[in-house]
Amino acid sequence: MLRKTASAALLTISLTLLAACSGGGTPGTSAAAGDDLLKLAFLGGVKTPDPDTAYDGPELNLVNSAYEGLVTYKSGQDKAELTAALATTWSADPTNTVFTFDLREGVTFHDGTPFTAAAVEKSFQRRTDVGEGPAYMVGDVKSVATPSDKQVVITLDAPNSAFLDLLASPFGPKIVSPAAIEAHPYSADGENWFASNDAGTGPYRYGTFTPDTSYQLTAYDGYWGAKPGYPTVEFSVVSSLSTIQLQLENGELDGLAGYSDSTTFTALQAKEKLKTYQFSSMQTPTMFLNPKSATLADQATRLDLLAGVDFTDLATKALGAVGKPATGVFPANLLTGADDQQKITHDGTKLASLAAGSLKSKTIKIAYGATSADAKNLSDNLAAVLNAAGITAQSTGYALGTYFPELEKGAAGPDITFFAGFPDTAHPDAWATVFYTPKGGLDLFGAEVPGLSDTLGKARETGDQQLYAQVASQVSESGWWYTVATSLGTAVFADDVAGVEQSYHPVITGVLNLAVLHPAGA
Amino acid sequence: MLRFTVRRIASLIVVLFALLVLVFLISRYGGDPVRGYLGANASADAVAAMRTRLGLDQPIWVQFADYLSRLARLDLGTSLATRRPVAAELAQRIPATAELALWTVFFSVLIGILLARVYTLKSRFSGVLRLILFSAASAPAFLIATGGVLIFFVQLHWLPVSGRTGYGPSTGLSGMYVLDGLLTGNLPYAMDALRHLILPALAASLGPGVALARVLADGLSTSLRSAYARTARSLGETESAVLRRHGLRNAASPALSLLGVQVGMMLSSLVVVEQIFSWNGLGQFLVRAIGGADTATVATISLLLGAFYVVVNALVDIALAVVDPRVRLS
Repeated sequence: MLRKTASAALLTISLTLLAACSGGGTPGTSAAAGDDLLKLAFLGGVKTPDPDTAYDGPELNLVNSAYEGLVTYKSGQDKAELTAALATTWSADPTNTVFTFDLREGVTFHDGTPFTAAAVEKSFQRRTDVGEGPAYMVGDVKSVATPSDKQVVITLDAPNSAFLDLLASPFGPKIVSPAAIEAHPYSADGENWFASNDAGTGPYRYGTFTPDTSYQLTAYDGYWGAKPGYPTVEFSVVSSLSTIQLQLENGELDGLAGYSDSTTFTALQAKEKLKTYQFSSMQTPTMFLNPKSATLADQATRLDLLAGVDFTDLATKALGAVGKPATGVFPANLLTGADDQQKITHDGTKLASLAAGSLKSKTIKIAYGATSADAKNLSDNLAAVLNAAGITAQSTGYALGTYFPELEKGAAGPDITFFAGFPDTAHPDAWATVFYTPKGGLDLFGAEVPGLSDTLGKARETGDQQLYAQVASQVSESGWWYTVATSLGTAVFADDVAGVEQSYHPVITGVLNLAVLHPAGA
Repeated sequence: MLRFTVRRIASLIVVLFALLVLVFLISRYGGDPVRGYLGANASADAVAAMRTRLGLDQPIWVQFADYLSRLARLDLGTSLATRRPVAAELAQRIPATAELALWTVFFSVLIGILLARVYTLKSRFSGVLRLILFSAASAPAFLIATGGVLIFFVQLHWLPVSGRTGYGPSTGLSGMYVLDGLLTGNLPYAMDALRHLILPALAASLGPGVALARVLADGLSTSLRSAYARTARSLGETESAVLRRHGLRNAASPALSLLGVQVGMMLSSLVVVEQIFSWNGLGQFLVRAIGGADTATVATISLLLGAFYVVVNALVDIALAVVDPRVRLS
């Protein structure tokens, strides 16, 4: 009896394995492969690609392929440069309060609705109504006038020299079909139609979306601009970077934008049939010092600590192939070099003095968000540097949900943290106000430099670069922040995919202009 | 029997409520979900406004009462980790996990029966096989999964390592892709789904299968050597009848108990296996919810998994009571 059962079981397993393995090779997707399909991956999952809630990063590969704003940044260059999107020309009045846009002719939304000025008004209103993270970008809009179908005039409550850059931001307001907005009102608590459908004007439209499994983009035949290089782009959601690495090597994936840590990236650099890319970005790993720290509140100690650390060496060792040491205070390419100078000079003797003096028998607590490999590597390496110099230091990682509450503990919290942040857009105000003023949102310890908010307020009105240079000096001299590095955007693609150098975004990493990718030789 | 069943159901409800309280409290103190929900660059004002909107500024007991009240109305809310209604997430993911779990149990039982037979062999080969399988059973699921990936994906290119199918989501009713493929007559789809299933299901089933085999083989060996088996043989019963009537019945009791425990433990290994193979099930959802400090979702998934575990064990207890009268009497 047992022999018979066991034999049947053995037969069942054998048949199952044989049948399952008999297909030969791993199965492809239902869509045609080769030059028609570009297969990419998201690591872990993405937030819903609604244009007015998307505020994370990777999901912008979907949003910015299907939607367009009035203006955008040219892709494939380090320096952020405004270029036309749905507006062909634009102008600002001398006070940076009234902005006039002439709109592109012959544009239709993916639902067939013609693009007119009314859509701009409705789209701005939707962003305000949704009221999530990126809503502030239109928060100062007093009115959106539509003198004609092809012109809009936007008036702000107050002068803002950053407004055009906010419109061009990767998270900036997108223009959505007014018919879709009306047909599918936003609800925070229900199924969101815009999570799996789009109503934009971009080169791609949303295809089949299976949340957290795969997302497909298909070329929009009625697009006003150049036809995308691949008719279909498919993102698979893969949980592990190791699996993605294997799939790239096996040819099951055509490419990966972002995500790579230094080890993975270096390993992939050596692989045949794969090409690796490193791009500049404005992601800027920064060291924050706690103003309530018992050890570092004293300015002399703080500045000596910063001078004692060799940040060039720290950034090089910690970030490897995915970062480079910073020289200025602001993110790369935001200010000119002369206006953006770090005021603290490295002095290798300072750490030994601190170890024997004000930091003797003290422990420096260094915190990082566990989801950031850059922050982790910087924290761990700094702890090693300090311990080697005789200053006791501990590096601790916190899950996303506990990291920010930990920083809010004041004197009981960590003394130092590393955070690899980026500005929402390529304007100095988008960095300085957010990171250097307590009301900004990412001034992680709430440090404040007297007079800095006023200087930033004036600079925002006029865009005066000299005022931002002044801010850079004040920030550097305060010792509450130290700009450590510039993160490099990474991409790995099969060598038969071309156009990658023209696709990267000047502000953030991991987001490509997918429409310019094309099969090599096409 | 009825009293026994009612008692089990009552204890089930108490256990699940205790689990709910524990998970809710632990995960609520696990952090603040707002940053993860809004995006790291969100302004301080936006964070504060969202905290109020989500009720996170309320005392913990108010939040728990609100959660319970919504749960009673079957309103599971929206996941802060994925921004989709939790009910929609569960509808998509439960069949995925159920399919993987069923195949894992199926493979576990098959492996168990096979090995029970191997244990009784007296050849040199069976000793080697036993050693290999013992080693495999001692290895955690993630190690077996990694080994499987290296052999069947990297070296042999036989099996895929990510997702549930290469053909897109099923259009069938059950959400279990192999079954849907068969029911709709789409054999290539069913086969592709099966290819995607094999590695994760085998990775999760090898350990439980070997454990089951050992218990089953020991039980059979003991019962077939027992006095009542000898008596049955002496009364002229065939070996097959002795095995069926006396051997299996007595050996089934500990094997069934073990299977109940193994199914519960299998859920935890499925969380890991789903991560490795990008299997879009409850395990992956749980990991995302924990990462995003999404308390309500973590509590709901834990409740579901806990309920499954308790129900399976209650069913096993009932089955044992049916098979073995001594359980009823105790």
